Amino acid sequence: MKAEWTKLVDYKERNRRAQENGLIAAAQVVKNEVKRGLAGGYTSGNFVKGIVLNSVTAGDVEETALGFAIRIGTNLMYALFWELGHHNIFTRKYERVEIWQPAAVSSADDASKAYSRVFIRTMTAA
Amino acid sequence: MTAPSQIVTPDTSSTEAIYATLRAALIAYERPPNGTTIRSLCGSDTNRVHVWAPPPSTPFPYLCLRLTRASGGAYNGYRETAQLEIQCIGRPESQLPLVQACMDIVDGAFLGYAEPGSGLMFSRERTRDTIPRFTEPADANAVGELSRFSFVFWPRVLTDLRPNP
Repeated sequence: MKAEWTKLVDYKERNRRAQENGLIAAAQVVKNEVKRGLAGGYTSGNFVKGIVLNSVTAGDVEETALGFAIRIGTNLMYALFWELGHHNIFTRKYERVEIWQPAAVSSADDASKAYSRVFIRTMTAA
Repeated sequence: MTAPSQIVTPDTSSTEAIYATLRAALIAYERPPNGTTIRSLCGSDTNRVHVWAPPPSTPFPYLCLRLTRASGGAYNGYRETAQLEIQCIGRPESQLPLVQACMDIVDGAFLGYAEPGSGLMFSRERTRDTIPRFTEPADANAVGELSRFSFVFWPRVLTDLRPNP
């Protein structure tokens, strides 16, 4: 009986670790796609210094009401202006360059495959 | 090419028609118990619901619909998943309650939305956020809320592409 309990505890722990590893791998796929989109900068590309590109980070795996989750983002507020659009007071125009959301949508399939691959590898590891 | 005003909704035979269908659904939605609509809140004199981006010098508040479509490999690519983003932007800050009331109508219009009249489209989960206060160079007096709905489409535009037998 004790051995069975030990097995169950081990399975639950391994399952949790597999989900975490899977999410970290999936986040890396999305991060790469976002960075590819940011490589040219937000407008003309003439003043690209890579500041936003280098700020793309993935957070820690969190446990939410819907299961485990991971966030990908930046701490630069102006990246949010561009992503959501803003009324620019200098150009007097509405300006928007979406990079993060399209990258997340277009890489969703690849991210899902990366998750599955790493999840299975962690669960079946010796 | 059909002029947007000539599209008979519901119609999923083109991206333009999908936008027209969603826009028409939002404008027509009457929120219980008083039958509040976008027009009754924002004024029926001008168009307040735009597609993709607001035109120059548009009056506030306005709403903007934006679709991000993606076809996966499953179902031979005929089934699409999409994110419908709806932003409501007001200016000045005192329009925030009006913006929130408009977004309540958006919630009512698209939560559990299903349209089987042309192809098939239906909404799934949604998120809603208040857009944080921007700083220069963005206009700091603008306030906004943003909702994102996950959609599934089986649009006619794709199924009509099947080769003739």
